[in-house]
Amino acid sequence: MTSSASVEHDTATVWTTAAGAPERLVWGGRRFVVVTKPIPWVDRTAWWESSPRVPVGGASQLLEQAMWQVQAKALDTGELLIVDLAVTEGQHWPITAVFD
Amino acid sequence: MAQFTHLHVASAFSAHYGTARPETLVAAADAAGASAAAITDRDGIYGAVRHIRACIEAGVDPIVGADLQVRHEDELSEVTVLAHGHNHGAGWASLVRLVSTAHSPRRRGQRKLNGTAHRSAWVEKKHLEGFLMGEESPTATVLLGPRSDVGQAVLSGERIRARGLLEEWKKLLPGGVAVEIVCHQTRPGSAGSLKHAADMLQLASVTETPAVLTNAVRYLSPDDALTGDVLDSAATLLPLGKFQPQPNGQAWLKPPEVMHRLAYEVTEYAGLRRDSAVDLLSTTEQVAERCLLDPESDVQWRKPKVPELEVIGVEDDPTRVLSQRCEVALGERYPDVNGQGLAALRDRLQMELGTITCFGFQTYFLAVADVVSLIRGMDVRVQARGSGAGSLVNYLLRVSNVDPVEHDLLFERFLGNKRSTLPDIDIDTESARRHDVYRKIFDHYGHHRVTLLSMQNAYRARGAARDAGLALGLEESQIDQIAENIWRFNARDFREVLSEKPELRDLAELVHTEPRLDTLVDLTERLDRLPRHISMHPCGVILGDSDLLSITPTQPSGIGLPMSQFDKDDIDDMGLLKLDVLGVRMQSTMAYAVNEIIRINGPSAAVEGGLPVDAPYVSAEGKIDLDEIPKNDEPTFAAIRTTHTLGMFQIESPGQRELLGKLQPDRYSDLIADISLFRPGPMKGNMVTPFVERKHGYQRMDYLHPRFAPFLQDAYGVVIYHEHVLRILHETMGVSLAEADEIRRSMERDVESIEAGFRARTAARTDHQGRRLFSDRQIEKIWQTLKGFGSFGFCKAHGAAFALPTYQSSWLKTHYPVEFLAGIFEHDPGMYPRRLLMAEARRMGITLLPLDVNASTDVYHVERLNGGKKGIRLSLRDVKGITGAELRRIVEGRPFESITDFYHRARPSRPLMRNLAALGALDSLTTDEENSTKRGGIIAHVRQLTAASRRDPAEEVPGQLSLFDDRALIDPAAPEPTPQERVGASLDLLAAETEGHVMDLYRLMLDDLGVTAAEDLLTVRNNSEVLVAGIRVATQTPPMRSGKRVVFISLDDGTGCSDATFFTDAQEQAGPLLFGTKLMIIKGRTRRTGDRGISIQAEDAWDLKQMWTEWSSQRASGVRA
Repeated sequence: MTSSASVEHDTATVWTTAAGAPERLVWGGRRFVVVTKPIPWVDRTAWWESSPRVPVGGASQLLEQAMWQVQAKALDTGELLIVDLAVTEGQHWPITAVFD
Repeated sequence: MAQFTHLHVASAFSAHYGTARPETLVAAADAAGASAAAITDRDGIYGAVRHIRACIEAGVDPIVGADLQVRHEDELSEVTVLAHGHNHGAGWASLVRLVSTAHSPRRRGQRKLNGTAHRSAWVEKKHLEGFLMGEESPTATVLLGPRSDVGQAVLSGERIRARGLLEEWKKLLPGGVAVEIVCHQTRPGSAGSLKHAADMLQLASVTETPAVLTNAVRYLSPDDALTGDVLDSAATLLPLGKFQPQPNGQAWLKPPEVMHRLAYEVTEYAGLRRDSAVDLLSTTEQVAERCLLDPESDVQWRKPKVPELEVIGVEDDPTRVLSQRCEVALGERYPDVNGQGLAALRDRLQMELGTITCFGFQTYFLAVADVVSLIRGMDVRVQARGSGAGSLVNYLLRVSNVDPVEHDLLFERFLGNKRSTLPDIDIDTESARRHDVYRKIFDHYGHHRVTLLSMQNAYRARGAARDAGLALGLEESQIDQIAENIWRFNARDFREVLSEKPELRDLAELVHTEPRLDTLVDLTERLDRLPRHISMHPCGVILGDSDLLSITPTQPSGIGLPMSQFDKDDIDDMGLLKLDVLGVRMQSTMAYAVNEIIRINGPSAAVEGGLPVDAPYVSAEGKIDLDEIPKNDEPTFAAIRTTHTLGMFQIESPGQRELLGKLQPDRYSDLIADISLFRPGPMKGNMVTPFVERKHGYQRMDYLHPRFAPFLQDAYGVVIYHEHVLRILHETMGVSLAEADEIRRSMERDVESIEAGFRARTAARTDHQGRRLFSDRQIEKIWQTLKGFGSFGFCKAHGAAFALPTYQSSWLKTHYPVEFLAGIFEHDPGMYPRRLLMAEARRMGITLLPLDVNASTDVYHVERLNGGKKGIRLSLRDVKGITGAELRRIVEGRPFESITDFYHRARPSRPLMRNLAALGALDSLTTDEENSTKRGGIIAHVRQLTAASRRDPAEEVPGQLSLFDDRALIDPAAPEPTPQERVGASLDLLAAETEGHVMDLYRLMLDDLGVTAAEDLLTVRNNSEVLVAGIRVATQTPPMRSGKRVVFISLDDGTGCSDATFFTDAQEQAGPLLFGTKLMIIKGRTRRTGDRGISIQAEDAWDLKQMWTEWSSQRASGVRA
């Protein structure tokens, strides 16, 4: 991985396989297809920033964020990008990092 | 069902890292179908004994290892070392010795960083071989995981280096190395990522190194990861967001299926064939197999490991030696007993010896006796405490100084016939000499046989709230404010008590409005009882055989001597002999008083103390043998009955003073009863009232049954002691005393469980003519008493042992008040601040001699005054800011001839010089006899002197200094400090008043409000409303019959102590003032508690300072109006 640019508040529209792995996405008006096997990984959150209630046994969802790292090819230019996607309810998933 | 053995599991005993207790982890492993469970704590095996115990109970095999830092060419990396099992302890011993080495204090010039995150233990890589290679094969397996040097090289893509390092490891420990595959599914490419794991597996595959899969577990469930974040914050001492946190929450004890899936994922990613995953999983189980420990043969579970006989000076069969020593001592301890009495003593001795021998504890008793005589040989006071006082053998061996026969104490309560672990014999010694005693024990028995015990300090509410506050980045002052009001409850109940406790009212309100505090409450609960650090146990010393250091790892304690990584709960299972050698300040106090008595009185000590000139316990030189003083000294009991008991051991608290006021003890057994009754059990069991009423004849004496009369005499027929119950059960059920103790123990758990058996057996008891010994009515009555007794009683042997220092200190205060109080000031033994004891000295008419650099030293000593009276000279030691070096120069440089002379030769720091002037310690250096009020001049002079630069002492002409006369330099017109300023200075600089009292500052307001002085309270009618004021000297929440919390606050106003009781309503009124305020005014009603006792039932309370501000401003505006 050569360089990393954090892309904040950027969202892609994601289509997944039956098992939940991303296979196609639209991002910034461009269409991408996932070209290699996506890697699932788990990121963490800064849960304390929102001062949540964290009773014993009731906070297992707070700390983690399920992620996919995918290699995707732009259908317009053929550009290859590596993208980190945060798994989200629905189709609109935040992109947390892009590597070229 | 899939099987998986987690080989890498940190428990909560990895301080500030793990979150789950070993027992919980083992239960979870067992529930997941594992046949073995491992524990691998950081830098040690702190949780190993609990782990093994839990494994034995669950029927799974234990595996024990440790996470250790390895140093190689100044680089630190981490490995996990797992001990091999079934090799007669060879694996265990290597692990133990390796861990000890990691902690050995050999770190020269290392900067110690704060926070547990900076681990100070490590081993040299090249030394591992010496510890872990057995004669033929390794005794442990080293797991090289993501944080090992190999793992780090793999992560940074240095394949060749990684391979080289791995080959190096394999050469170092042939057959003892495995690559550890960990996949925490972290960000691709980072440590613990799928790629990292796959690359590690590939490396293992190409080098044909065994690889195991672990989850590097640090918590039980995903939810605990959040607790892990808070612990990480505590470990780095930084708030969340200010340090690199754990990458995610994957390090939990995942079920076998999940681990198997991980194995396949990693294999697939590594591009290896599917059966590589099977290999990975089966190798994991093979390594586990190799590390299964056999508690019996590997750790000699519960097998006593006592010192070798010759080490404790026993050269013959220990049974014979023990019996001979006791026989000889019979004549010494009981010189006047003969005939039938002697026969009874012999019977008892034989019975005790029989039991001791039957358990094989002979060596243990001899060892304890040896240690006690070692301490006594150092001329240090030593006294047994606890149920060991119930043993005649202990009394004969001079381990205990309480006669068990005289006080009807039972051996069976101490050592029944079901015990399998070594009994506790606790030894009190002088606190000031405790470390000397420890060193002596190490030197005498050998450093390879002795180690100190450690203890795990766990989070309680206050500390948990502090660390939760730190994690959330709260302001220090806000954290302080929260912590201050937290008073003795479990952290896990924080939210619950928030709505109940009046002192938390303000906080509860804040929690509603400030979400961060709401989070804080939850985090505090999460930290509940987690171990936070290990420290030296206050009294435990482990005495073993020459293999001790292969059994327990050690690490340096705060005093430099090594301490075991095991705590008191581990000792029994490890079969280690623990001595409780507790440093007791009162023992130091009494030793000090005895020395002062001989120093100041010499041969006339007996006369000075109002004792017969031929008293056998006073030597010709004036040395008093406290252990031989008569126990029926009426002046001592009279003094106790006045309830002026401040300074007397264990009977100075407000609650005790109240109890003494009612109980009015006049014999030693009353004192035993007093101490026993003032315990949670007897309080809850309501034993106090009947005892007091019968003692004073208000209630008819009733012994339940005529057969009980002989042994219930000591408590006027009230069943108080465990010993009473033992005797009752023995009489009624016809069981032996040892069996009776078993029954008593089951009674404690569930009183109903013994009812049927008790009734049946008692009813079946008949005399030789076949008549029943106990009628149904009697049985009913006895049963009701036993039922009421339940678990509430107290062990009389404990009480009797406790009563001894109580009696001895009371005796000293009665006969040698000046010497005794000097000892109190010197060693500060009690619950009150020294300044209150100074007030007590003044009340008793003892002269407190002011600080004087020419007379005061580093100790509080007794001085003979003109006219023969004695006074106590205050010590310079407690002057604010004084250093040891300054103190030494002052003491060695005396006498000083002038202020200038003092300044130049004693070389005090400037602030200290000014403090000494303000305290009047320089007053005597000016020789002006006419002018007695010259403090102002001295202060002004010193201010000038310390403002100028100090001349180099080398330039001074010797002999010139003495010619200096300060008189010429002191301005007689300088303003004198006001009395208030003097009090203020002495409080600030000495934490005590030498002149006046802190309340003097508020006198005007107190008079205006009509506040009652403590000394006048006794003249106030019962149940009248009063105001009392003072500085808080004690806060207690003592045991109460109702079980409801009652808060006792004692205030000192210079005339004595007023004790206020806050029941629930008053606690509501006082709210946050309850624990947080130093100077208070309390409103309440007087309550007489016996002839001499009075206390105040509080209704309301105010902050004195705040009231003073209001009162002053009201007055000021009143004047203006």
